[in-house]
Parts: sequence; structure tokens; C-alpha cells
Amino acid sequence: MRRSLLLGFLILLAPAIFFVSVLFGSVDLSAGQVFDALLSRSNDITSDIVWKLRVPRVLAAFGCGGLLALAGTLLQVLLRNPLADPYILGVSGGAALGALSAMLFGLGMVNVNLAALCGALIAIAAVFGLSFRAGDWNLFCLLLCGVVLASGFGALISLVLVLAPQANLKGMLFWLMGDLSQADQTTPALILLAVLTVASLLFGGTLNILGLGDTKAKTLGVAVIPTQLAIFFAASIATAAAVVLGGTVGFVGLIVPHLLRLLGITDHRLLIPMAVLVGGGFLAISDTFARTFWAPLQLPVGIVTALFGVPVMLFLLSRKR
Amino acid sequence: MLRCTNLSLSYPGKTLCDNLSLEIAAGQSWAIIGKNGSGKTTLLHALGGLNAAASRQVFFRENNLGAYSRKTLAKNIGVLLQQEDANYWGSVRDYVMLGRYPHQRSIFGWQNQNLQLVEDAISRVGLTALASRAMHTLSGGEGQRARIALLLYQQPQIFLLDEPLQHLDLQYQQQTLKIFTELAQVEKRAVVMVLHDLMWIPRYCDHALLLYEGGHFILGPTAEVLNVENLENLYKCRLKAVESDFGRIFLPC
Repeated sequence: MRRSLLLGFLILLAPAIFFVSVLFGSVDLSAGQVFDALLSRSNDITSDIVWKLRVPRVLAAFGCGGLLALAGTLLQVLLRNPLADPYILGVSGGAALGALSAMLFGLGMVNVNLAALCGALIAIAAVFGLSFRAGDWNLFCLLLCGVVLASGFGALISLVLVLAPQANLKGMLFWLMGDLSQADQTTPALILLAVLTVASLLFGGTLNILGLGDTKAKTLGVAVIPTQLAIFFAASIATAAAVVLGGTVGFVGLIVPHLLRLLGITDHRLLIPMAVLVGGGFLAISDTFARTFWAPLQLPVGIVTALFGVPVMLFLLSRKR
Repeated sequence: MLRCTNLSLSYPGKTLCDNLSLEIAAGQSWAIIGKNGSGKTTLLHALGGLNAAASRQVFFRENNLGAYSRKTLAKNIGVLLQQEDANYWGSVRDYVMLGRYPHQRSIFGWQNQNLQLVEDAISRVGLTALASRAMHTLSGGEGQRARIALLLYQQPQIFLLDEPLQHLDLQYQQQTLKIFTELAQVEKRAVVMVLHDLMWIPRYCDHALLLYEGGHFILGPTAEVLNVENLENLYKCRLKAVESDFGRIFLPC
């Protein structure tokens, strides 16, 4: 019951985080001004700032964080490895290589995103093709293929960075560290987040069983291979969408599921919606901090997520011991 | 209830059982015994539908196991594995509640949980005081009892138990055997157990299957097949039978 109340609290907290994130920015707006602008859309400057700049940015941060937390939760179940994060299977490496290559050739942001999506899809196809054989797969093989591919992509990304002209380097590094300032395609990402969250929730009970191991899951009635394939593709697509939206934002996908488990949330029927809410809220707050703390300079949000997340996680771990 | 006809199981270069035909009826409790690596677990997995290749030769009621969905099998056949991933983050109670999974009809399944049955299952294995503890903090024997509680809550018609007594002290060994014998005799379920301790078999199992090297086997009522000659051939060591108030006991010489 207490866990269900926590979910209710998080659902109520989400609009508050949204409001606070929209409230802060390089232009000072009062809470009343933001509230009015949110309720009635007009043509004044305040409304433009709120609706054209801040709301899309906060929604992008929420979508990106939610997708990463969802992908991390799913991959930790699939690989039964607490170190699994959305980037472990090389999807982000493929996306980053695509995006940076597009930047190297001076393509616009739309093409950069398209290249990132293509890179991510190629990485998903490669890791799946290498590890799935004749209707069966070995999860260790999947993990190893992903890690090896990610290393290969890492080397190629370094090569692109070495070859890149000085003028492009900063943009590339921002993209690599996570940057929501160029986020577009927020609506499709939010729709995808909603669809994947509901779909994962439907499998929540099955995910609980899958954590006991493949054989035990079979004895309890789980069709193991189809379920694992569904998890793999859902997590990979969520990662690809998050990376295309905000670059490789670190830490959210690894830390959010752990944080909730340390708080005693182990049932995936609760863990999944909570991870999406906490991941989205955490990235929205982090991004607000990243764009206001050193304004007008914007920090890569990946730096902020790590600076916030590391002490919280270490504190919880030390208390648990 | 569960039968196999001409079932052969092997690994490359090693035959585990050759042309085994076996019928396990409701109310019976079977012991499978054999040396390490003789194929007891492989046979148990085949009987539980966990070996896809063997599923066509094992029949539950009228059909072979391959004809049933995983959920239907899980409603009827419960398997206690010899080893299970210890990577479960929840409490003992949460863990035991997973046993209801095959019976859940709704997506979320909360309403299908019978909390009284959960508590009964936990109580039968003596874990009531530890029900809220995290699974990963339990000792080996406590963990084994939690796994048995999950199986009890699963409520299958057939229990396939791979070394159910491992990690258990003497008290819980007997308690576990009493639980499953009662399920067989009173509720007419079928129980198949891989056991190493010969002391318990004459008292708690009415049938036994002895798996020999090379795929040979002997099966039948315990009183007939569990004798010094068969066991000496099985274990390749000298044994002595001692009659006690509780039945025959076999001691190594």
C-alpha cells in the first residue's frame, strides 16, 4: 500500500516539477506570469518564452529521461546484470557515430538526428543478428556482442573527433555529454514513451518472473524467448529515441532503477511507471539546473545528472549497508 | 497423470536413459535415485517440459507436453529446480506470490492473489517470521524453504522436485517430505523427487526409479526395487540393510 502511495505521490509531483522547470530560465518570470501563460496562450513575449522555448525543452527532458530510465529498467531485467544501462548494447555508440559523422560533414540538425537514428538502428540490427541464432540466443553472447560493438563505436567516435575541425568540436562534445538545447521531435518521443511504458506495464508481472532466471520462468509459464525479444527491442528503441532526442545523457538509465529498488520498489508493475516518472522528473530538474546555473552559458545536462546522481546513490548505498 | 513412453535422453557420448517408459499416477510419490551425473535432473526437466526435444515423448493426460502452452503446463506441473538465480530483490512474501503467475488471468494479477493461501504456504515451511525479509538475506535452508513455499502456492497437480532436501536441517527435511507425501495421499497430487538420502525413501516414497550408468534403469514399488543388490550395483559400494521401526535403512559398510 505504501508503495502504491509513493506512485501516487510521484504522479502528483510530475506537474510540480514541470511547473518549476518552466518557471526558471535566463529570463526572470514570476510564478503568476508562468501560470497565466500556461493557462492562456497569447502572442506576448512571456507566452512565447513559455510555450516556444521552455515547455518544449522541459517536455524533451522529461521524455528523454523517461525513455532512458525505462530502457535501463528493462535491460537490467533482460541481462540480469545490475550494471546494465541503456548504452551497454552499443545502441548509443551507433547513434553517436551517426550523429558525429553528420556533424563532421556539416549537415544540419535534422540530418544529424536522422543519422543518429540510422546509427542506432544499425547497431540494434548488428547486435541482434550476432547474438540470435535459430530461434534461440545466449544472453552472455548478447551482452558481449553489445559491449564489443560499443567499444568499436567508441574507437570510431574518437577517430571522428580527431578528424573534426576545431569549430565543430564543441558541438560534438556537447552532443556526446548530453544536450537538450537542440531537441526536436519531442512529440513522437513522448508518444513512444507512453506506448512503451504501457506495453512494459502489461509485461510487468512477467518481468518479475524473468528475474528468477530463464528455467524458473519457464516452469512458471513464461514464454521466455519471445518475452526477451520484446524487452530487447523495446529497450533498444527507447534508447535510440532518447539518444536522438538528447544525445548520450549519462547516469539516468543506470541510477533510477537502482534508486527505486534501494527504496524497496521491486515489483515491475510499480517499478516501471515510477522509473519513467523519476527518470523524466530527474532529467527535467537537471536540465533546468544545466541551463540556469551558469546562464547564459549552458552546461551539458549529462554533467549535471552525474553530479546530482552520484552523491544520492552513494548515500543510499551506504545507508543500505 | 504423467507418463513417458520409450523416452531416451543422452548427451554427446553419454546415454542417460534408454527407452524409459514410466507412468506416474495421482496419489503416488516417486523417488529418482542415481549417482552424480546419471541424468536425474535431465530426466526431471524432460518430465517437466523443459526439454523441448523430449516433450513429444512425455504425456500429461491425453496429449504430449509440446501440445500445451507454457502457462497450462505451469498450472499443472510445478518444478523445484536444483539451482535458481539468487538475484531476486523482493521479500519472501513477494517471492512466494510469484507462484500465482500461471493462474493469473488479468494483466496486473493483484486481484487474483489469495493472500490467505500465500500466508498458509509460508507458514507450512516455517517462514512466517521471515515473510517480510528480503529473499537475498536468507540462509541457504531458508531460501530453499521459500522456494518450496512458492511451489505450494503454485498449486500444481504434479510436483517435480530436484533435491528438495538440499540445505535443509533434519527437522525441515522431514517436514518437507511430510508436506509432499500428504499432498500425494490426501489431495491426490503426484510427486516425483530426486533424492540422495536413502534413509527417507522407504518411509515417504511408494515408488522408486533407479538410474544406472549406460542408460539402464530399474523402476517399481519401493519395497520391491530398493534392496541391497540393486543399490550396491547403483552406487558401486557395499551396503547393509538394517530393519528399524520406521522401515528399512541402508548403511554403507
